Amino acid sequence: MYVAVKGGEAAILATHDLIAEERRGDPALPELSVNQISEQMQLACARVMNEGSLYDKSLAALALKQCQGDGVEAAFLLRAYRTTLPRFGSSLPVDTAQMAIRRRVSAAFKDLPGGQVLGPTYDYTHRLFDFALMAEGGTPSAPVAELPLDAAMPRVPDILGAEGLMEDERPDALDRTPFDLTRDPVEFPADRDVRLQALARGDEGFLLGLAYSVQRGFGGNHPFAGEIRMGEVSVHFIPEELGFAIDLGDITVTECQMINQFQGSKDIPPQFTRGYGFAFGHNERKAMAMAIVDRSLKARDLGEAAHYPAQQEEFVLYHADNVEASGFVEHLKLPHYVDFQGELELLRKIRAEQAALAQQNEAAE
Amino acid sequence: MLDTPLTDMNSLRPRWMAVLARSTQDDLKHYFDQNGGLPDHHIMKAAETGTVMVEGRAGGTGQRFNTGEATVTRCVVRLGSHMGFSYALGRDKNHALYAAILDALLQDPAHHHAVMVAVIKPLQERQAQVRLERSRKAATTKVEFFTLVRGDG
Amino acid sequence: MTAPSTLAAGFSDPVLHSQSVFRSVLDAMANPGRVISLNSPLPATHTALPQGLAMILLTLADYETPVFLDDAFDTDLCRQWIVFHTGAALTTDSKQSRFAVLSSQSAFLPLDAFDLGDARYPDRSCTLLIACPSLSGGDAITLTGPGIETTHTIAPQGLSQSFWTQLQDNHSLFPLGVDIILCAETEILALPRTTLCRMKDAV
Repeated sequence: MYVAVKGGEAAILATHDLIAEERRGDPALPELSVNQISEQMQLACARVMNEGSLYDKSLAALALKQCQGDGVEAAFLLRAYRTTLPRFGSSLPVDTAQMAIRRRVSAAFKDLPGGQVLGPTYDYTHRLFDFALMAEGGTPSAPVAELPLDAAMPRVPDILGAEGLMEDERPDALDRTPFDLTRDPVEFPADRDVRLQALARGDEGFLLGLAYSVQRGFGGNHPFAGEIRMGEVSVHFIPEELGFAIDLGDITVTECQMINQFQGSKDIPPQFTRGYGFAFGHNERKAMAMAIVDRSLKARDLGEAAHYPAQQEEFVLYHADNVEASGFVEHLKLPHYVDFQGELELLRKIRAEQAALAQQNEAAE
Repeated sequence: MLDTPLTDMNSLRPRWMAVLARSTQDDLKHYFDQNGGLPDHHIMKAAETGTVMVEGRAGGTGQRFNTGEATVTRCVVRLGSHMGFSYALGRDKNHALYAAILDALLQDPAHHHAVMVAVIKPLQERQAQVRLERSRKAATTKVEFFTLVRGDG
Repeated sequence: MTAPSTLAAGFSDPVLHSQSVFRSVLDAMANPGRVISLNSPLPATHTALPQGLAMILLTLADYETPVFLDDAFDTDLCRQWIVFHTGAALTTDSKQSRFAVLSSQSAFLPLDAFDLGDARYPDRSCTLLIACPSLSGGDAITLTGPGIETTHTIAPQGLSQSFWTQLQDNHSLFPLGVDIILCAETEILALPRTTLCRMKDAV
């Protein structure tokens, strides 16, 4: 029998107080400020901005503070906040060729116009603990070169493209407004704009795993990091009521251009193909994983066999979003008393029927 | 852009708006503190925070796609016969109001020069300085390759 | 387009006032033919737009909803006011518009000049906002359909016989078709595509 109940309100309200105390931790220690988080946990904030799909460093920091550093929960907070805001419109496409570069490396070409700029990176640390940071780390200051970087830092694929060996990335004649999966339901087969938007807001861990699977042979493309660049780009927007483009300020972004071999098909000569990754803030792992998965999702466009998970857009696009994924997985902890009661009743009934049948058979023998 | 004839003000406007968009509330408040507070203004659109969808291009040059949104705050005021607009990344409503008032003052020949000298030029120089310094720091990490062995066979 | 300094203001409290108008439009759509008064204060728009239509545009139009203006409203002031306050793009192609602002005299435009939605997304059709001299005192029209218990009679002024004939065609296209809001001053009434409109003598 099922009895409808209600309750738990007082218990739920008490969880708010309890989690607030947990969040604060030991009150003898100073409280973290949002500015401290946005300055000193920049990479965590970048991940939250990407998966929350909203560029706002201080909100990302607040989100991390509010949920004790849980990145997926923080992304959820940003997504929820975003829905309360009106959208003024779409920017002009950001021009990453004009980026104020702080890091730019190519694993494919040594000698690039503008050079290889390592920038702020953990790549050349030894992954040994710096125990000095257990105490206060002081105020390090980086040296300053006499001259800035070259003003022109062309993107690597643009350089190779001039030789015709690189797949062209050019808009079609219409250069149409991109699909927006936050406004319209995704349909399959999905165009590149849909795929790239889904990947850009997708979970870093999920994309990293897929990219790894491609490299290990579940997708069969051997990628080269054609270029990774990080720095500031300005965002330009044309308000309808002004009618001219205005510069809204700078955002930090990371861009990755992967280069892959391609055998060629009956329509396309052998050439290098490309995968593209783009992330808010400094977020190379995400940009690289995205670029590899973007390329593997081109399988259909290039007439390649698509046997592996990373090549199947419906699988990738429907499962990359960690806010959706955690919502569905974690909803299982909410009361399912009625569902479960139903299953229980069914099980008891089947058992009883089987027992009755066994008794009948026994009696008949 | 200081000594440009006023007829060219329309072409300068996107540039001073870009400088204002990169400033902070305190940068702008300073000017009003020095000049007897905010001038009389009529709010046409109160400061409001929303978003702009940031577009990118596949491969940097190809098909447009949506990378994600960014918070933006805007404000529109009228000072006399001039409409001042501000649109900037972030959520600072006071900053948006100050920037909109300064945009209106900059369109007014009676105030243009003074605001350029007191606000825009110093901010523009400081913003260029920050950018230059960042680039010079990055330049210390630029790789110099040395040839060890030349594989000529 | 740069807004002129003479531009009239929009809602003094955009959030509360647009919510109130939204609620009223919802009520009007749920109760076809019922005359509903919009109560949000709006300073004079200095345009030919009736106050009610101006309020609806402030509430519903944005940069994703192209707006079409017929000749009666296609003036500089009107265009500037709408673009400044809503951020909507104006279109001269009625088929591209999400909202079409029409005067009752020109509401004889063939309905298929507007987007009727498609089978998968019938909701993505155009909504016609039609300015009438008055919502009462005209020829009686009998309404039936969802949201109306038996029948409901309206008598807006300024709409031609061919308009009502076209509305019957619109109704027969269901689930496709346009939705209509009639407006005089600050009063509105809605004629969604589900409503069947008959001239009294035709019944």
